[in-house]
Order: sequence, then C-alpha cells, then structure tokens
Amino acid sequence: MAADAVDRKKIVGAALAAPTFLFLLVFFLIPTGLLFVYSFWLAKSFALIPALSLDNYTRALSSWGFYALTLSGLKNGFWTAAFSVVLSFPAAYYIVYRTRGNLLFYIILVSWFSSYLVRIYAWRVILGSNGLINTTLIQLGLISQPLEILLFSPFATILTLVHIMLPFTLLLLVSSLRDVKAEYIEAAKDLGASQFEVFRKVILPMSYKGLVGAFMFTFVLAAGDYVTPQFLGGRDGMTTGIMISNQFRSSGNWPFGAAMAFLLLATFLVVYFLFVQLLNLLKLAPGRRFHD
Amino acid sequence: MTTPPIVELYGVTKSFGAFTVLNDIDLKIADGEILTLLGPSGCGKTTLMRIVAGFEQSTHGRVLLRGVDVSNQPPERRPVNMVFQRYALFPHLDVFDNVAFGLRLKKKSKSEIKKTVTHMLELVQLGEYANRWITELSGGQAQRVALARALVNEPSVLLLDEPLAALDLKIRHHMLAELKRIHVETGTTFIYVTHDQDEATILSDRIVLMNKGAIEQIGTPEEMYARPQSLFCAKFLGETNILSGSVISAEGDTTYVDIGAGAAKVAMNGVPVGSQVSLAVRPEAIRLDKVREVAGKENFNFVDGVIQDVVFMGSRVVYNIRTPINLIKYQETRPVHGISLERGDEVRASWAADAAVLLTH
Amino acid sequence: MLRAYIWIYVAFLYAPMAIITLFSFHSSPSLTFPFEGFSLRWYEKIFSDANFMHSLWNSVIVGAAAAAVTTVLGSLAALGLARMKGKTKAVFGLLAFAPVGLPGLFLGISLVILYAQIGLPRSLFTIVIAHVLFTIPFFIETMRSRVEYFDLGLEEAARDLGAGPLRTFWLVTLPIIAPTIAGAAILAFALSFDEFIITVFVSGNETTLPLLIWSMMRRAVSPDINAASVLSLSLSIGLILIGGLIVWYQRRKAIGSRA
Repeated sequence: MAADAVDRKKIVGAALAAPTFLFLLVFFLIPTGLLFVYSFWLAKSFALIPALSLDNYTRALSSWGFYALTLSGLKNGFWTAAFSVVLSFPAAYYIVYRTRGNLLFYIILVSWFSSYLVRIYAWRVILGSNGLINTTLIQLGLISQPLEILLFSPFATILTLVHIMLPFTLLLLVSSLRDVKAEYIEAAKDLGASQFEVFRKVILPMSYKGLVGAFMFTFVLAAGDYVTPQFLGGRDGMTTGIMISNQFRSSGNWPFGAAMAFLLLATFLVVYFLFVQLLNLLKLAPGRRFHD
Repeated sequence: MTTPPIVELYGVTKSFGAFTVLNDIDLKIADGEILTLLGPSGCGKTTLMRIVAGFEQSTHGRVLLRGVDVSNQPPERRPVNMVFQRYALFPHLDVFDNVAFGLRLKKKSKSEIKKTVTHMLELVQLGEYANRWITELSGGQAQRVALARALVNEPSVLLLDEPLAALDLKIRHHMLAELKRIHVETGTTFIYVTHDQDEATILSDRIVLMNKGAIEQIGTPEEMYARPQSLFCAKFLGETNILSGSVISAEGDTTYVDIGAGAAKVAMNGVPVGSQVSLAVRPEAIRLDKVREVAGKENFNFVDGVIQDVVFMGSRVVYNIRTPINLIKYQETRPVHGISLERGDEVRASWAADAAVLLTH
Repeated sequence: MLRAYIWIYVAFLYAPMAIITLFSFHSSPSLTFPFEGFSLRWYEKIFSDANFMHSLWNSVIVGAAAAAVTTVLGSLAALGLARMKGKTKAVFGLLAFAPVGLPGLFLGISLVILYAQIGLPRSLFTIVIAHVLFTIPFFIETMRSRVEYFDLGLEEAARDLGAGPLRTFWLVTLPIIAPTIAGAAILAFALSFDEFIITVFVSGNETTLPLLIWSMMRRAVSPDINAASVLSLSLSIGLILIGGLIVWYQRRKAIGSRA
C-alpha cells in the first residue's frame, strides 16, 4: 500500500523546505553557535586562543562603561519603539478601518525602501549646525547661535530611528489590526461602547499580541542599531552596539565582541520578560478574569 | 442489474491511526445511474468519493473501475473526473482554457479541442462565456464551468462533491434540474455526495445512506422514505414521528407494541416478544380528529393530545401535537377552505396499521 | 482629524528624502535656503566618478544574485511551509523568520566569524550570502500569505484532469503564484541594494553603493552625496513601483484578454 496522502504531503513539504533549511543551518545557526563559542575564547595580541573562559563576560560586566553604553542603547530602543508604536497606531487604525484600497498603505511601505543610510544622512543635513533647521531659524532671526542640541544628541538618534522604523512598525500594527474585524467594533458600539471603550475593551485586547510584538521588534532592532547613534549620537551617543561593531572592525577583539553581543541579547530577553510582566501587573494584558 | 457495474468497491477501509473513517465498504454502481452518497458531516462520504477519485488511498480494500483494479493508480490516471465543492476553477485561465485543460493534456488537436469545448459549453448553456475570466462568473455559472471541465473528458464516472453547497436556494433547485438534464444528455454515471436529503431524493436513482463510516441502507428514494430499515434512516430522510415501546405479542403478520399510550398494531412480523422497538410514522400518514367526535371508537394506533401550534408552510400545514408520550407532527396539504383545527384543540392522532414501520435499531 | 494626521505622518516620512532630492539639484554647494537655482552638476560629478560607477555596478550584481538565490530558495520554502503541519511548521517558520528578528549587527559578526573559520575570503560572493540570509525571511513572509490561501483543491483539480505532479506545478501552481514571486523577488533586490549594516562586516575590499555613500558621508557633508543618495533612492523606489506595476498590468492584461 502506498504511503498515506497526509504523510506524502508532509514529506514533500520537508523536501521543498530542505534547501532553505540547509542554507539557514550553515549561514545562520552554525555561525550563531560559532559566535557563542568565540565568546569564551581569548584574544592575545591579535591571535585568537581557543579556550573556555568567562574572562570576556566578566570583563564586560565589571566595567561601568558597559552598563552605561547598554543603558544608552536600551534608551534609544525604548523611546524609538514607544514613539513608533504611538505614532503609527492611529495611522494603522486609519488604514485598516477607514480606507478601502491599499494605496495609502503602499505609499507608506515604499518609503521603507528608501535607503537606510540616505535617511540618516538626510537628518544630518537637516539637523546639523549649518543644517536646514538652524540656518532657517537664524535667517528668521529666531535664534542667533545654531542649536547644537539638534545634532549629535540622543534626540537626533531617536528622531532618525523613529523615522527609519515607522513604516516597519506600521506594517506590524496593520497586520495585527486586520485580525480585529470591523464587525467586532460595530458590535461593541451597538452594545453601547464609546470610542474609547471600543479601543480599551475590544481593539486593545484583541490586538494585544500584535502590539507587544510590534513594540518589541522595533525595540530590538532600534536598540541593536549601531550606525545611527554612531553617526548622529555624538559623544554621549555611544552604545554597546557600536562597541561590538568596533571589535569586529580592524584590530578588534572578536571574543570580547562576541561576549558583549550575547550579553546584549540576554538584555533584550530580560527587557521583553519585564515588559510583559509590567503589562500584566498594570492589568493591561488580556487574560482570565474572575467574575465574582 | 443487467449491465456490469462501472464502479466496484470491495472492503474499502480507511483509518487514520486508531480512528476509522470508513469501515469495510462494499458497493457496486451501475453504468449510467445517479448514485448519491448521503449522510451527516463526518460520516465518511467525502472520503469514500476521494478514494474513488484517487486523492486518498484506502487502508484496505480495492477500487475497480470498469472491472480494472485502480486502487494504486494516481488520480491523473483514473478515468473519472470530479466537480469540486468550491469549483476549484483555475483563476489564471479563462472559461475556455479551464474546460480545455484536460483535453490539452491528452494532446488533442486544436480544432478538436475548439469543437469539443464549444459543444460542452453549449451543453451547460455557457456558449457566450468562453472568453470570460473566472472571477467574472456568478456562483451558478462557475458551477457550470466546473461541470463542463469535468464532463468534457468523457469520464466513466463523474464525481460531484457537494457541488451545490455554495449556491443559494433558488439557484440550487435550478441547478438540480440542470444536472438531471445533463445526465440524460450525456448518459454519464454520476456519484453525488451531499448531506442534503432533498438534493438526494430529487436527483438520485439510488441513495447510499452512510453513518459513522458504514453504509446504513441502500435503495431508491421511495424505498428509503417508505421503508427505512433503521431509526437513523427514518430520522435522516424526511420528517417522521418516532414512538418507542416494546413488543407485547405477535399474531401472524401483525405485531402488537406497547407505546405507552395504549397498544399499536403493526403489519410486520418476526420481532420477538419483549424487544425494545421504535415505530416510525410519517406526519402525512397521521389522521387527526377532534377527541369528542371520535372518543371510544378505536382500540389501537392512536394517541390523544393537544395542538401546541400550527405551522403554515405554503402548500401544506404542519400541526405539532403535545401528547403524554411524545410530540407528534401531523401534516396535511393546505385545506382549500381554511384550517379547521386550531391551537389548544384536543385531538386524536391515529394511523393505519400498514402506515407504521417497525424498527428494531 | 485622523485624515489630516495620516497625511502629516506620510509627509514626515517623505520630507527628508524630498529635501535631499531638492538639494541634489542645487546649483551651489550650500545645503541651505534660499535655493539658488537648479543644476545637474552633482550628478555629472558622480557619473564621472569611476568609484561610484563601480560600486553601483557591484550593488546591481549583488542585488540580482541575492534576489535570484532568494527567489529559488524562498519559493520552495514557502510552498513547503504550506504543506507542513503542527510543530514542524512552527519551528521552521520561526527559523525562517529569525534572521530579521535580530539586529543586523548579529548576523554580520556571526558571518565574519564563519568566513574566518572556514577561510572564505571576503568578496562579492560573501556579500551575496549575507544578503540572501537577510532577504529570505522577507521573501518567505511575502509569499506565505499568498501560498497559505492557495486553494490546494486547484492542484487536485489538475491531477483529476490528468496532469501529473510536475505538470500540475508547471501548469497551475506556478502561473498562479508567479506575480507574487515576481513582486517578492523585486523586494529582495531592493532590500539587498540598500543593505548596509551586515554588508560592512562581510565586504572585504569590495564596495557596494551603500558602502560608498557611507565613506562619502564620513568624509564631509558634500553635495555630491545628495546626488548619489537620490540615485540610490530612485533605483530602489523605482524598482518597487515597477514591481507593483507588473502585478497591476498582469491583472489588466488578464481582464483585457477576454475581448
């Protein structure tokens, strides 16, 4: 008797996915494993010594600088994610419930494909001391000295990261709001819910996972970004991401960089856990309620 | 049957792990008939059809088409074609190309394809629609294209998997008539899967009633309706009044059953005294009288009750009667001079001894 | 009010690009208003710059190669995913999305270590591998929604009408998902064309357009960066629009051919 149709389907599925699996194994899983192994190695005068040492981790964790840099990266991530979600939510709402076609959605997504670097560069042109804002303000006589705070500051970094992440956050929000069908909202209104109550009691709980997902994705990608703070953050803009990337450039200490990368990853996980716990604590998360 | 069967199933069994979907099905289908696989969802009717089509393999058993064992042949090599529940029309092809799909695979000549497809589209009354895009068709039109796409290959058997389920009521009745006409014109054997008893009785030469992976009863629609062999069959086809009780005695061709509101006489034999049985009486076989007009007249086959409601259904009227043993339904064609009985009337429901069917399971 | 908001939102997204575009045509090197007049001098400058042309060409080659590899791998994987069930599906789906769930930095440094470990010299080839890793998740996600909703009944219908498994794929599955594949391939090209974060680590001595723009940016604010940026922008945005047009045109052609 021939193999069952269901089994056959599964086998065909696995066979089709095999090349991609192999690719991801060789160029994603194994390298990540190698990175982890490297984080226990030692680097002595440009030579790598295979070892099983925690030196790199203790070195990072025992320096106050590491904490400061990590904190500054997390701050970038947090504010970027917060602004991106808050600013994109109304737009996502509008796209899902108020428009019929997808034109507006596409217009916004297309901007996502405008080069990442060009956007960083553009903000530098706009925010710089000889930049558009400062010169315009001076020409208008509103200020006499260029506002130095605009460029090379956390403000510049976060503004640019928000600009970069907005379409991505919007994409995630739109796809999670698409699960909240308009009928649910109509039903809630029919039962007497106000606009705010609809949001609080229907949209928020139903799109909760998508919202948290959008926030966390934006957070991780922004906190791990090293180019924007390096280029726009100025002296105080140094982050762990920049530190790590520097270790992998010329004359860097790869094992130390690898260890910091895993510490950063661990930090992301802790932040995610704390964030979810916080939402639970504030009773913002949907879940079982006891009706007594 | 004089002609040899076109489809033969022997011991067809299908199980997924410990769960048995089809249990030891034997079935012979005659050339040119319309056979319906009828049953509630999950009874295995669709799986059985898919085994005939070749989309599923049976765990045990054999499938023969025109006497040839096709059990191990893939669907593309079996001389059967299917009309899918949601049509499965190819969205990247127009109506003509959809219908021509099978002929092109058989490497038929261009002129022959043109001729055959055009003829087939005319048969399903879509001659004007050859160049239409699939997305521009209504549900009924899409159904016709699906039918033409399958029939154009001149299959030994046409399989129809709940083909009318997605259509609304009016079009469904129209399509049933169309299916009958097309069946007459082509003479193709139809195997039709449905859970709708109306479709089955209107369309079929024979009905195969299925339940829990097994065949419950096979017969013509009239046989199935008039002589159900099981409680399941009696309940599934049409409406019926079920009176349960036990056999108290049997004399010749008559069996007496205690139904809790007196005794009932049934023209049937062979059921031992003491057996738990059910009587099935169709609503239209009931006679209804006002109690005070008939009191004391009868000894058997009646139950007294009160009319609970009267349901007007166009050409007929249904009365629901609350009795001590069961809710009894009585049905009559709408009286020309209005309805004489009304809610609250005390009535006697009675029936003839040969109108009831005695069911032992 | 929401309507007004959304247009401000869109304006915010496009304003910086609009400003860069405007100043790329500025006749003076100044990046401030008042605008002194239009000129193509910055474009002439970069087009006569061999470095720029070389980087542009490299980016095109890398983008095309990465898109081709991603299209083959990703299409198969998306079709495979649709046939998987339960845990296998969840695990593979997660794995296929994971590379973009991490900051690009991680992918970059992991690949650097891999290449060093197996002694693979950094070249355009190593860039292509990195880009495939980065574009595959987007490709699969784009394909997935189309493939998940693909009516497997269509494949059964083709089998029923006499087509074997391969012919079914060729005559039914592929034509139906082709526009989505084309769109996703263009997406992959555009993503690769703009990729910078990972590329920095795996490029060796090769330069792509984003790497060149980066080195220009680090030197000084100079107006020819505007021109280079605008070219890079218009190439990727232009491609995305062309992708959209292909899909739209196919639909038009489909409707038009009924005649």
